[in-house]
Amino acid sequence: MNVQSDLDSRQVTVTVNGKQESLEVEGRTTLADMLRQEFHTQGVRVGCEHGVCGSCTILFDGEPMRACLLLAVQADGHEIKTIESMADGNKLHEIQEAFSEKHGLQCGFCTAGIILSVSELLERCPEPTDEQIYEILGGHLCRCTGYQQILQSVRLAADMLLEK
Amino acid sequence: MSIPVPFKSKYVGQSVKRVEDPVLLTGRARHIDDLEFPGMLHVAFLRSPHAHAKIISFDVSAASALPGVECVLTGAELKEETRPLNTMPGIASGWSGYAMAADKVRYAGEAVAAVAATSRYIAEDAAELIQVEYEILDAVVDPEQAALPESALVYENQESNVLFERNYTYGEPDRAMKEADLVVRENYRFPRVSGNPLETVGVIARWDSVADELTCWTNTQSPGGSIRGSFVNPPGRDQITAQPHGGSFGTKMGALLKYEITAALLSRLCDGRHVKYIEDRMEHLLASSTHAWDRRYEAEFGFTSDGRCTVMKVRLLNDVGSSCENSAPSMCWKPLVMLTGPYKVQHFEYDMAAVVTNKTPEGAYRGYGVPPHTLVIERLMDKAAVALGMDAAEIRQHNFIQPDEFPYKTPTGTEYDSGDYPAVLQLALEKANYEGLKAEQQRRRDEGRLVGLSVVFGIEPGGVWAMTGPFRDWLGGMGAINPESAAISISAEGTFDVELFYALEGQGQPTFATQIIADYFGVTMESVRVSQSDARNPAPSMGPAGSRQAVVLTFALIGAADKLAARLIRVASNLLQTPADQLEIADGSVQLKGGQGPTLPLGQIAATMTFRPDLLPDEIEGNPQVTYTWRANRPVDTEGSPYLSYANACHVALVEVDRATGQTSIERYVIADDCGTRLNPAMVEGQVQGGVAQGIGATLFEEYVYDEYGQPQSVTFADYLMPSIYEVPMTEKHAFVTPSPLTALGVKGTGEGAIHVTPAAIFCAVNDALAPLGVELEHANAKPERVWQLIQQAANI
Ligand code: FES
Ligand code: FES
Repeated sequence: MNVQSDLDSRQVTVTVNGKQESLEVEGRTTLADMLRQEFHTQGVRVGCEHGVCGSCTILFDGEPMRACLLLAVQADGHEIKTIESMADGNKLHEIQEAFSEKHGLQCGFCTAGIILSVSELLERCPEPTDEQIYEILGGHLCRCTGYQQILQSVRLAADMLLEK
Repeated sequence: MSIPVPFKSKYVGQSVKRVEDPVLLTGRARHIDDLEFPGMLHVAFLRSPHAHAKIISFDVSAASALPGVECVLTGAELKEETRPLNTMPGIASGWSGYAMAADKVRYAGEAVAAVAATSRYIAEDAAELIQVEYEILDAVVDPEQAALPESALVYENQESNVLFERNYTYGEPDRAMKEADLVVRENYRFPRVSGNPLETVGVIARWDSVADELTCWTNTQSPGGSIRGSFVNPPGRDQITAQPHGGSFGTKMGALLKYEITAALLSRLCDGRHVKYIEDRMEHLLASSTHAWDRRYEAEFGFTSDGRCTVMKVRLLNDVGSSCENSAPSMCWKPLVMLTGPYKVQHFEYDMAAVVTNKTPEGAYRGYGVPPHTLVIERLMDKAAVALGMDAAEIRQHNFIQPDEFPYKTPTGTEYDSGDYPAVLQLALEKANYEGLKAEQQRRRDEGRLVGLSVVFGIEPGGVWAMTGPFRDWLGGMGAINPESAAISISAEGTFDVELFYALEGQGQPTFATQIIADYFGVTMESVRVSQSDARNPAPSMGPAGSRQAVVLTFALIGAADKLAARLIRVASNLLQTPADQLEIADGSVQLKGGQGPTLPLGQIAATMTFRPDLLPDEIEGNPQVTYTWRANRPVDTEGSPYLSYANACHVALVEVDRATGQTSIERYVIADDCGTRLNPAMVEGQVQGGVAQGIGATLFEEYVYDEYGQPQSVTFADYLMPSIYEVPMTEKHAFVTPSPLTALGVKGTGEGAIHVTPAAIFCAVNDALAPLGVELEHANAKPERVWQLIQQAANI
């Protein structure tokens, strides 16, 4: 048997954090791997590679999606945002600031995905109820914090963004 | 009691923001999988589909021929070059295989061959092309069967599957049991669970045979060690460095060894190219040597008619899985340091045995064996309370060690440092409105609902300073010190650089280090920068484990600060022509004690040391940098406690069990705990809440299940259920502070406390909920199907 894994390479054009790039990828490359290895946006964390933990969450045309469940070729012509796009230089985004203020992270491995999901929520729904926050956080596993300080961080982030 | 802080504390004790957060929040931390090296190769393993089988032959020809494959290594080839995984003296010696299986596999998922290729994708393709012929053997699955003489053997070099049997008897338990007015007994099972950090374990190895040097970049909790002893032809030198972790919880220690060895050998075979292996999640669940606490208990406690516990007998059977490559079986010994929990009991028998089976090897997990033990104690206290018509809180109050009895020597020789258990329990009851909860429970019970209430208490040994006391038996009679180091330097600008000798791992150590050093020298937190060594330049350190960093790092930091301060003062004494004993450090300067007279900024002293050493007298070391290694000033060869501090906590839980589904929902969860001085209360709360979540996971959701052939049934996050925000209650936390007299600043360890107590709290509450049905859960994992079956049973009685 001969596995010719590069047979189905193809060209994709993707905008990652505002920069458009074209490159060749194998058909089977996951979007998470392409982002980490080709775009060096290593803030895309891979916790399970089977769609459960949420740590690989990115914004795909503004929608939170799991980069481990998408193929790189599916991103052709689309716009992707990763955690690297959130801060402005060394000035943290309000959501990041709120997570720091309320100790919403410990090891930080789950955090990038959570922050991106939360940013989409707060854009769509600036004054979320706890129920809505739960719905978003329910898609993310965090093994360190037990979620309480994450919940408090999201509530504070909403307040901070409203005051802005 | 006042907090023994030897300096003005502006930051210590405050919930300041963590200094490591900006790096983590922006995705910039460099985890092991983020490291790239030119020409790096990637590893995939072929893993055994069988739990127990002889390996007849390997055929790697197709895999080797695949373009992109640089090397294929079989278990048989690896065996020629390496030594068994466990080469430590002591009980476990002779009970492990190699980094990959050579002659036979002992658990499903054990690696039998490895491929190094130019990408992980190609490596996985190639691994699938390897042919291995097996002869399937009977799998040893049930630990009780495993102990029988007729059982198949996991290790042919051993006479049976029984790894060890030990009996520890204190006082006269048999007599005390005979004399008891009430005896309660029960059998319990604890589920096989694990830490499951969101980042799995990983390694990059480079073995340069020309330079005769092996480097392993890893995400280990304990960098700085050596694996040279694992090789038949070892490298001249080796170093194990560590990257920031995405969580660890004990799993990132011994579990790395098999991967380090394999990646190292592959690197040597590939002319010293870098070789990377990162476990994927399925491999982690299936085969990472990190499972824990697959335990069965038989327990029997005796009481007087007025509710005093006089004797405890606990018999433990631990299924450690297929190998002792990790230190896991030593988790049977840890309960010896808190054997009777918070209670005054003089007669105790702890009978323990461990067996090997054809399951994934066990490894360390946060709590290190105490959570199941606490669950057994607390559940039997509840049973006795019911039998005696006492309240759960009352029976505990009745048996507590009293505040005036500290330091308290337990029957096993452990010394509990300090505490006020009655007050901690009282605080929890008050905050929970316990009487109100009881009334509420009764009201809903009258409606026919299954509502449970628990009040449980636990002890958290912390600040492990040595493998002494009970652990010496495990190590074959030896003890070992667990030191910790810190380095500090000061710049000409008066800023401080602090170095810790292990990697960023999420519990906030850089932050409290900054708080302590800023307060010590009277400067702002912004003038202190903490870096974490990658162990290229190591100082002795065990790293985070055993609820130790708040204790041992605080000692190391203050030791280093004292050393630097003494040096700065000597230089200042010379410059100011003032005797050193009249000088002190405050507000970032050296000044005359009492604050009168001239002051000399610390940065200026450092500048003098660096740029004008000619101004220093000869005997002064002109180096504004110090390293200090802390070790406890205690003899290691004693029966005494390996832990310095004993934090404690009371958890109160209110749950309801759904009759129709068996599902438990947690409605209230109140915690009062005493971990001594809180360096950063928000960080303590994070540790507590995180431990609660893991305790809830173990008692309601998580479990590694094996079928009768030893086939693992929990190999994805869809089978091994990690709690999400919907499952973890938002707990109410209250602090009670009794500073430890044995530690710097009065701190006590706090990383493991909540996982010690939460399983007991949930288990006792679920059983209380089921009590009106006359059934009782013996398996500590109260997953809905298990509870539902019990409810059905009750209906059929
Ligand atoms: S890594 Fe994508 S969901 Fe877990
Ligand atoms: S902070 Fe570690 S997994 Fe969430």
